[in-house]
Amino acid sequence: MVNVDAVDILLVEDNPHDLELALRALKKRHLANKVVVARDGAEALDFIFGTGVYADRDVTDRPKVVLLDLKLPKVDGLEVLRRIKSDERTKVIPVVVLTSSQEERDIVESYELGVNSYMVKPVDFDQFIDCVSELGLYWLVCNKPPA
Amino acid sequence: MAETVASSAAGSDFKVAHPLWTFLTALSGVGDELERARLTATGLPSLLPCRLSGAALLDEAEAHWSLVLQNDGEQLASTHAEQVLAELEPLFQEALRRTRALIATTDRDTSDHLIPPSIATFGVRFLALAPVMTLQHRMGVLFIGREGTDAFSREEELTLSMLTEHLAIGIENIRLSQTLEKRSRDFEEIATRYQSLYNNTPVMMQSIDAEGKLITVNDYWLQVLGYERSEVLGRSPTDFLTEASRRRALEVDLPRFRQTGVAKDIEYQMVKKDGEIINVMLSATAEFDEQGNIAHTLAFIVDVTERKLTEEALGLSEERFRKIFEHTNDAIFVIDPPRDRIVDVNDKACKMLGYSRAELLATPISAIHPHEMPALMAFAESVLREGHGTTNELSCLTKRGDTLPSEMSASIVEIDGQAHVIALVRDISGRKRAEQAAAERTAELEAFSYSVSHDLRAPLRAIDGFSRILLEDYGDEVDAECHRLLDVIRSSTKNMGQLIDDLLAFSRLGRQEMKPTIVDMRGLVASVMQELQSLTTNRDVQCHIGELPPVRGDRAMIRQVVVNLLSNALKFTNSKASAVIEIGHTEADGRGVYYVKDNGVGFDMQYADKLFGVFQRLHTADEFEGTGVGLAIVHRIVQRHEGQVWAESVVNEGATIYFTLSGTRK
Repeated sequence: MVNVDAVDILLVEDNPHDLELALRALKKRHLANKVVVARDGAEALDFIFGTGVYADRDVTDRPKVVLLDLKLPKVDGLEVLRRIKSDERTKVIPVVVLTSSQEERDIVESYELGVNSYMVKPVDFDQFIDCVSELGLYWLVCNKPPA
Repeated sequence: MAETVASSAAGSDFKVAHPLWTFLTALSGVGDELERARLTATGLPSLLPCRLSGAALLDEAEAHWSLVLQNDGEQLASTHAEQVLAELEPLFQEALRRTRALIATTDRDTSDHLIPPSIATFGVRFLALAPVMTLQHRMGVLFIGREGTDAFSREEELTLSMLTEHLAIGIENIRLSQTLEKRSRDFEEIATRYQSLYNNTPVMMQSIDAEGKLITVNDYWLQVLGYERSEVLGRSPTDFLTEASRRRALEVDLPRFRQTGVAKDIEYQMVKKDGEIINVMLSATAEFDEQGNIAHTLAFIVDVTERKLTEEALGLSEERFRKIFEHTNDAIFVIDPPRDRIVDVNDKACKMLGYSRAELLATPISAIHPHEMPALMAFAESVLREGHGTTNELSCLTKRGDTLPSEMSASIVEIDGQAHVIALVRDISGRKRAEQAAAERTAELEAFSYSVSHDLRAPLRAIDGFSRILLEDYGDEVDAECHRLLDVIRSSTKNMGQLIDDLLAFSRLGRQEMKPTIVDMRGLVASVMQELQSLTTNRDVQCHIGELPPVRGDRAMIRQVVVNLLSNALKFTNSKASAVIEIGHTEADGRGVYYVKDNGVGFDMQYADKLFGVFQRLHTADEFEGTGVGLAIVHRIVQRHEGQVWAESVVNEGATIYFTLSGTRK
């Protein structure tokens, strides 16, 4: 059983290398302590809605931000976003799409579904580190979510 | 006896009411006859002891009779004659009723019949009135008067009877011969008239005998075929037919004609004497004798060559249109709108829908378009109003139950004075399949580039990221060469990342929807130039922007063209101490042409054709960085605007890129 108390970030990422790079970036800013990782869309939904392996979790304890890749096994990122944003209990959770896709239709659809931010992962490591750590800082420190 | 005769006379042609009139009528119009009758009569006196004292005459012109009594050559005045006749009338009537002579005297004691006073004044004492008659006809009465005292003897009375008998027979003979003469004259006249009709009627006529030989032909027959009568009579009528017609006549038509005696509207080809062939139509009748052999025939032959030619011409034209109708690639339906019925279809329509022609003509339109009748009704109304129209996609139901996508264009035409709808229906399933295939290919391509966008970049990021981690975590433990090698890895990944981005941008251009607006070219160029110059510090760049007319096109795409061209101009003037870039507009072949001119390194014109290809580079990466996609993107955008792009250059002196956009306003 995962310790699910006081989760700050739900990081949804299937690519282990991208995951490692993202976690490294968060650690640099000391933001990695309260990170839960989901490796596919189904696992992310289980965490959000307290189902499956997360059946015991209190869903009212919302993560401060969800970092969501779009291309995911089982349930894709857009579907996860749609489910989060169409449920009264979860729609206030900030969701940031963090993806390789620069496709216009992905961007448009994400915003239509109510995404809070859309970030394209830079290929350059330095830029990537900057991007992720600034994201973390902004949503965990600067942003003021509803109670 | 007298009564019997009278009654039989009343039943005959003889009109008792006007006996004299009738008597004279029998002789009327026949001068010769009267003369001959008189001769016969004047021969009699020698046989009779009496004098012929009277005869009847008719004045034809006045249409009334007068009686001339001869008395020593003296003629009676006509007034006296009338009186005589009036007084004779009762005796005349009486005599007519008898078979033997009636004798009148002046003495009431010797006879019941008295001689009228007007005659008695001539000294006539005895008057014999003998009826002139044959068994069939009563012709009149012969009057014989006698002077003196001797009554008519028994012999004289008999002689008188014989005389009147001869007289009647003589008159009858004359009448008969005259009738015969008249009949033969009438017959000749009729024959002449018919002969003339026969010869001059503008229809060919011929008659054959029992052996089937021509016995008569009319003049028109000879005239049409160009023969003399002597060349024709006695020959078989089939001699004047073409081989094919002759065979049919001999094998089929003539045997049947000999049996039925009737032939109607048989088409033959006849051969004129000069060899020309004419089309004819023959009708004939025959009369048979008691043995059942042909006695008389008459055939009418009408020249229908002209008519035939006209029919053939019509037939040809009809055939031509029928062929077009049948072989066109669209299904054609001729519809009678008031009856909502298909009145004609072509072969293609039958094949397309899988019906036979007859089935299709009996099929209601609603069975072919079961799901779209309301739309079709609206369409029909608009066609009737506008005269023509075209539908959007329309589904047709085939006989087998398959649904065919189609398009219909219809127009109103008048056939036999009535408005019909001609509908051309085109099976568009082939086009639909092609469209679908194209859409599938596009979808595949999109899926491909989507996956490139996601999956190709992740490993690059890993390579770059982990190289960097290596440097961060173990940088102190490796030498300078190791640092250099890791830098090469990192710059290569960055380069590849750029390539992927450019390629995706290029591929997106082909699929991206155009949003044309009016683009202010001058403003656009100025803002792009300003943006680019802000990135190039420490360089001497002179930029000249000329008069650039606005253009209609997709603003974002045209901006990309300007960005790429100006970036190139800046890039390739990098080595020059002072860069000069000119953006202007000119005209070529009536089209507006924009150009970007620089004084950079230029390129060798022999490679100009490679300039706009993807990944085509005319410079090494050491000289100028780039992926070789920039001008390919320019090319594709210009193409999508139906414009053209080309370049001119002199190595080391500069290059000019020209482009047109079809919507360019002069």
